[in-house]
Amino acid sequence: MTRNFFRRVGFGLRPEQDVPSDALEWAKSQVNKVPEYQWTGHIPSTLEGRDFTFSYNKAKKKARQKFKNDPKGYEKLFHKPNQEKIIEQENINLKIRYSEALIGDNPVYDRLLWFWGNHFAIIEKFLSPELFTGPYQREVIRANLTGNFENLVREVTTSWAMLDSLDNRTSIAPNSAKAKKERKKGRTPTLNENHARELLELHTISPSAKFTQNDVINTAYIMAGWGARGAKGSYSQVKFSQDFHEPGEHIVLGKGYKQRNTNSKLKLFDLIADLVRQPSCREFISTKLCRHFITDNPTKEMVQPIIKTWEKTDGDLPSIHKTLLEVVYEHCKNTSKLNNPELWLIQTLNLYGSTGLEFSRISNILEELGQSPFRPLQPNGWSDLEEDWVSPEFLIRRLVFSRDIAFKRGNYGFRLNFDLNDLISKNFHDKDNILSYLSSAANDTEKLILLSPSKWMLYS
Amino acid sequence: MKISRRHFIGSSGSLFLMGSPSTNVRAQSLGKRNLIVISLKGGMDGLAAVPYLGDDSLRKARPNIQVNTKLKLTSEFYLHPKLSSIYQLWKENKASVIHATSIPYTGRSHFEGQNLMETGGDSPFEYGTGWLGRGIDVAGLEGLAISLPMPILLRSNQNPDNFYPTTRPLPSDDKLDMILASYSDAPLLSQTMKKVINRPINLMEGIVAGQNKNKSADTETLTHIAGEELSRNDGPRIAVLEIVGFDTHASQGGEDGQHADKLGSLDRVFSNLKKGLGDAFDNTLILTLTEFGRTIEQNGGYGTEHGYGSAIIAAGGLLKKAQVYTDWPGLKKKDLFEGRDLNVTLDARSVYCAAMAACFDTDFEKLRREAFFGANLKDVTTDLFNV
Repeated sequence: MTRNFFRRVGFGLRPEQDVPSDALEWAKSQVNKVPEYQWTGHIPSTLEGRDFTFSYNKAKKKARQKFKNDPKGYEKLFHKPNQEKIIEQENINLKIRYSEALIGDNPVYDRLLWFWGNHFAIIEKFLSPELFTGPYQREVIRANLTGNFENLVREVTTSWAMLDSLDNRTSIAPNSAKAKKERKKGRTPTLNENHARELLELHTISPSAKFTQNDVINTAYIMAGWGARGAKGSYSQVKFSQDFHEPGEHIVLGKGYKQRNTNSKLKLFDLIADLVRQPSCREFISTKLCRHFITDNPTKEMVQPIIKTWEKTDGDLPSIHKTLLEVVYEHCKNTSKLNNPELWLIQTLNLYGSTGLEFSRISNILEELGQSPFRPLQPNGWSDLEEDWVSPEFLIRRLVFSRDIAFKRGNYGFRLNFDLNDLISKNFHDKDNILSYLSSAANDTEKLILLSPSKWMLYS
Repeated sequence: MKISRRHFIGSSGSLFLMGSPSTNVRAQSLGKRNLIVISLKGGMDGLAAVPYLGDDSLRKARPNIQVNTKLKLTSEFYLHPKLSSIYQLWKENKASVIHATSIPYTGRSHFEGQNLMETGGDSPFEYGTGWLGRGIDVAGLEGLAISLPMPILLRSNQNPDNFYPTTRPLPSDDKLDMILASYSDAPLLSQTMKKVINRPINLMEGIVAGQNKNKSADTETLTHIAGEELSRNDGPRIAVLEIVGFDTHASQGGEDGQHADKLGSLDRVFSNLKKGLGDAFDNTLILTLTEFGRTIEQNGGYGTEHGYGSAIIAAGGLLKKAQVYTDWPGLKKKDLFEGRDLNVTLDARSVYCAAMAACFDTDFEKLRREAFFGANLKDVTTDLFNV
């Protein structure tokens, strides 16, 4: 058995952890149910974030008025204290993410959550990294990894965060009641294609399905109406508004979608049901899973079993995940996969026994490492390819943090009171090479400086 | 608005430097010419920055967010009052405006638009490289980007070296050598590590010194670093800066307000760069870049919506003269794009292609073909720049 497996599908084994007798069983047993949270503090929700934004915007308007002629006063008395509060929220969301990874018993579930959170990425937007992406990943993704893929896509597509991220909330179909009103007022209503395009291109069937611009526009018609609206004096919530929707039948990939009952809300669910059953969808995502967990260049042999399970179980996520784990287990030894900066940091800290909770501003560390998980710049999320992560600068970052972690152990939540040799033999299959590499180090601190940025830690 | 450490402290800015030293002998013989691109993310309102007051269309369309300004450029065009340093440069014949221009993108989505303004292509997310990166390749310049991570604008087929200030120290040299040895059977890692180990020390020290004056990478620090680095003969010759937050759907304001604040940042960037560059300003070209302009009409929240045509603000000694370069389409309803946006009479990529031709001493035609995929661009090099 290869011990890289614990790092490939999890965060490695901590100093106090025993090696599970059956590694594959250990991994597979973690994907059946949504784990309890380790985090005992308050867990922020999307609604709280909405509520906060609403009051904040109101207060900001007032403050702008009040400090009209005093920009310094505005900065000092309003802007700065509020920014502090907001940034703290991102750190709380990150701490929850990492406490699950570092002290939880279901690292495999967390790694799958990280994967799907990135697959259905929320781009960096006003307040999203601080207030919304963390809650979205917990409420929409984490809570739905034990059902089927169709359900997951539905939940994601109609989530507040995604409707906001890809602007579907502002989409007005050209023949909708709302568009007629807008035109009367002399305004030009616009249909937003972003979300529709990404639903096809990034979330489900991918460009290999050869969909056309017409498919995108018709998908946008079907989606128009799904947005976030609020009553006066309150924050907005996800809602389908018939007023914004394009009446009639729309054809996507050759099939027509029309209203089933009194409103057109279900057209989108009918479309999703078909998209997730397209062969291109299971092929695309099975390949992406392999690329994330096995190698930059997955082979047919790796992808095929996952596609088969997908087909057989009609997209049952726990079954798909189990087949994935079997394939990873089989190919773990003869493949290697670069850890992206976030994974490298958390895996390193986990191996050293960190509880992670001592970080006050982990968001700064992640920014310096070059990967703030809640701040992807594009809707396709963070890259799974090695070439995008190996540059002199990214390497320098890992080198300086390797040194920093070794010297400032307290800040990183661990003490050097464990047996390093034992740790290495638990987590790496080429233990002897590593020990000989470390043998020239004068003490344990130096060993950590050498081990953290070594190829064995950069890859899993 | 984006809130991260750097934005929190400085309200805007990240800096990318590139292109040093030159292997292009012709470009070298001309003396070092610098190109600085300032990305204005969110959609810069060209009609607020450089209002057209030749008729009353704009005043009528924007009764509550009018810009009252005395900074007169021509009989028809004015400059926003927050752009006073740029106005000073204009008077010295070292600033100009290209108006009614944009990348050819009308979809009004930020992330598509920002992707296209960087890739220079026609279809969003089609290319993974940027027009500036490809231009650097075509010109035979070697790249060192000061960035983390590399913006698409600077990406090219070569994997350029990159660097960005950090205040944390590296492990000692002997440890770096040992770590390198652990990469023996990982070619990409060991090649990258060699670049780190062989990095010219003066560059690192220069940057770290600039950084240490103020630990935050705020706009002032970044523009200071950019100016100083570009002024050195052996320093980088291309810089990219970013200012975010031009997306003012609400309370945009006229001479004050959110858009005005951003234009104020832009003005400070120009004046700091000029200070930092010193004499090298005369061999420099600074250009703005944005994904789209904004609607001519104000909306209910006294902001503006995503539009189409905007303006490029340019400065530096490599400009031909102070001018508003435009084939003005007009602001009457019938003149507008889809009845709502300033129309575009010049593909902004023509300006960027010409700027690279002027700064890299490389053929416009070659850059058009290779950096812009043969797009139909107009050679405006001699109209705008000193070559």
